[in-house]
Amino acid sequence: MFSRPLCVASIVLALTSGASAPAIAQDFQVKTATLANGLYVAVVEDHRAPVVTQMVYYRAGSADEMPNQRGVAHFLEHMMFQGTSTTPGQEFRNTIARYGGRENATTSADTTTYYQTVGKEALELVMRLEADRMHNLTITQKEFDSEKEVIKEERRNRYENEPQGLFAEQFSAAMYLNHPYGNPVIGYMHEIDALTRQDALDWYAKWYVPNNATLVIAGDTTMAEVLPLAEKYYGAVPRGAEPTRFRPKEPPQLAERRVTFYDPRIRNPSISRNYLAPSQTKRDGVSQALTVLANLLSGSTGRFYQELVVKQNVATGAGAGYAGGLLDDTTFSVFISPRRGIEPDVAEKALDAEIEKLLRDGVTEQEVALSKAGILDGLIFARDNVMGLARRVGNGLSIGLTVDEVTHLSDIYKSVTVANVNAAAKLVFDRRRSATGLMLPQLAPAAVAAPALRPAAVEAARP
Amino acid sequence: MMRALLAALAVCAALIALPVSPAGAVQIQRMTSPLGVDVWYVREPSLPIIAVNVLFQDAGASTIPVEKLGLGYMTQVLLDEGAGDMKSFEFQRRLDELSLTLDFNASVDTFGITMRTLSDRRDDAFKLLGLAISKPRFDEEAIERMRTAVLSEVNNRLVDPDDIINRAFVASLFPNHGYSRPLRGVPETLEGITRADLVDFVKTRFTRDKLVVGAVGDVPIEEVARLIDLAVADLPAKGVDFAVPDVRPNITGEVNVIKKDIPQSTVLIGSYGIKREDPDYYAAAILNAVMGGASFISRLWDAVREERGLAYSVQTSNAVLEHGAYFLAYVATNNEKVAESISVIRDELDRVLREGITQAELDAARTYLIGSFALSMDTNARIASTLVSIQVSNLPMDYMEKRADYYNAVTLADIQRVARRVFLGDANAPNGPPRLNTVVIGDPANVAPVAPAKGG
Repeated sequence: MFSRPLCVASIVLALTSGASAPAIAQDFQVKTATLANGLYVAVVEDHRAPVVTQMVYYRAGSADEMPNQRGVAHFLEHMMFQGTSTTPGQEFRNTIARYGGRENATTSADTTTYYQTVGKEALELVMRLEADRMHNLTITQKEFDSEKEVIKEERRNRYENEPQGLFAEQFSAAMYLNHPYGNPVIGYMHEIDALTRQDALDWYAKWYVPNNATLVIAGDTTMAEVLPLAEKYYGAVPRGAEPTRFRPKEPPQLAERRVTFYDPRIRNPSISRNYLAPSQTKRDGVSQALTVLANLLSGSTGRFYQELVVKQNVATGAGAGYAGGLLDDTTFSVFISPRRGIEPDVAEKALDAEIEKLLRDGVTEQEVALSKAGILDGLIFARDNVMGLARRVGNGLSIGLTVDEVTHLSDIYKSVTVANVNAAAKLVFDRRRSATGLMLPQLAPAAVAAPALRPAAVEAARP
Repeated sequence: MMRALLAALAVCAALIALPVSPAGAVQIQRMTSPLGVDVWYVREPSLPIIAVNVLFQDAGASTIPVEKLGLGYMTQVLLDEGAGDMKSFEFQRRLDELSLTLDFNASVDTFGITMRTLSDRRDDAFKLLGLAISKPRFDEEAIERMRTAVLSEVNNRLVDPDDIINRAFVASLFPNHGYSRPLRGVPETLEGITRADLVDFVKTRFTRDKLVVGAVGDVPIEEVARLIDLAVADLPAKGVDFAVPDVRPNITGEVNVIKKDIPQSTVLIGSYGIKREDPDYYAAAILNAVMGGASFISRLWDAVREERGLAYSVQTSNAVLEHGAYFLAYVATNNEKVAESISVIRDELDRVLREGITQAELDAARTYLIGSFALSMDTNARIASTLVSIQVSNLPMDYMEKRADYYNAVTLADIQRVARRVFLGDANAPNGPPRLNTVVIGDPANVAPVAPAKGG
């Protein structure tokens, strides 16, 4: 086997799913509470090691930016590491490091997340520090200017220097006609350049309030320990005006799009197609069916690999992926990497023939049963990583899912049928609501295209 | 990128350099299996999962002849393409049915396997592992399919700036040694790898005398020992001893600029490293943490990123291999700022040579290294890999408890000595600027190439 990254990806994504179904058995336990100032608190217990992880999710991401402030969500995330009026400079990071702790932050289209992993004796400390920067952040002009250069280097690192990054950016832009998911989380270079200190301060004032945040504490602790600390530190942060999200909606997509990207740094062509697809927040079960579908199409025993790589011998790799854990409509993606000597359009036609066959004949009972079993076993393996569970909870609650929808995935997946999967495939595989991207080797007319997935998150400030 | 380099070249180092801990909750058990395998184990009853790491020593890319480069990597991608009576599809389907994760990793010094299974399928899982390593089929269809895929990957890497600089860097540090050979091979050697080569690789490298095992699971250790025996029963008892020579970085002061039309340059700066068994290893780990290893609290992070906004990422590493070690500094910055970034890094290395570090820095790095190791023991999979790296480093069973003591014993004088060893090559070397090899890829302004000095 060469690699099964997409198969893995789809399982991981499955784990971040959740949906509507009668609750029977929990995959893991979450306890929740709400503070008077609106902060939502969730605790996931894992007592294997004396370690805790704190995560704070703000319900604000790059898709909430106005057109004149693109990149500010990620920019502010960097500034959150520059000190507060009560804990100036680098005291936060130095304190965490003294305990050997890990910390970082991530900005995605829907959320901005800060997290630390420390020994349990340092839980109170990190809660105090994180609560502090929820309302006491200071931003000096000097720090802002210096950090702008850092962020531009980060952008060069991920995009200007990486053909895959440049392609992904152009491809995403083609996928959405109106919704801001088409924009890069980090912002375009000229947009980063145009951001001001005031933009960052305004963003902070609007979104960084306890009533727009979810605190997740995971590890060797209990709600009985966490709640008094949360009251003490986060409870002191005043409730803010309720921020409301404005998300431009997609109009009906009526014409398929095509992006062709050439770069001399590319040796092997690759072809991706993204179809507009509902996320879990639709609560119609389609999201879970799409996860099962992506899983059965991917991996070494998956349909695409077996048919296109093994039987037809036209590709070195092929698969599918689906990211259901977004607030608004997401994408279902398929890709193929033609083998040497096979023209890209031949490979693309072969992939399309597989999709047509799928729509015509449907998937089999056996395929669905295996795919579901793999996803269900994945839910057990997921319990080895409490940070992953914390992420699932934090992201799920932040996009509006209920606790049950986050913790009862086994039940939800068990109920997916062959008919559900076939119906989901029919719904999603509509060329009019798709973008096709080609990433091609030679230098040629200015253009862009290639591997599928939108960079949903920019890993933050720290490597 | 830096991570890729370390992964390619220093798998052991990456594991061992896992910051270490006070004992915490981890209780190591150990027993010799009926077949003589030394099994290290941690029992974790709360999850119905068994995670096992298996490593074959003396089985890395550095043991492979130049004309067969990529043989280890080809083996890696073919081991789950059929074994025993099961052809590729049947084998893969069996992995799916069991929800078994079975990953292979050919590195420069070793060949590693990680497996994760649900406990109630453990017999089937370990039998499948045993088949993969003792009876791989290497069917022609699978070999050709994988060869095509690997060639495609390798061709991509040949033009990838990150890969180009990695190759140039190790070639600069370790000329004429296995460590400078590309792990995945080159098109010419990949074309020449035959089924007989693959069979020979497995027969000579996957043997019980080279085996290291670490596991975490919810069953008694006796049960794990039985399962390990199930997997290794058909392996030869004894393999071939490959005499990979020890090597020291060839530091010549060269500055190698590889011109590429990209907006951001990557810079790798190399000097001497400190090996794992060296008594100065712990001092070197602290020196590295202070310079750029504990990145957010390091001197280079402050000097390059916080004070000057020159880069998104700047890091250092004391990279440890089985037969050598090197110190590495990494930065990526736009072409206009390369000269300044290199100069800032060199000045910091020069300053630590002249002035050493402060007591406060020593204390902070120490508590960081002690604490972060404990925190990294938070999944079964990580604990299993740590059990293996402790053994590969010839450390005692109580290493996890003792580790903090080793760090606490390091003094400022130790750091001063190690700085001279790392940046001058010898504790007794005459004073002077740090000795460094520098490789840059990109289109940097005002960076002049410098030819290697003779007799480096």
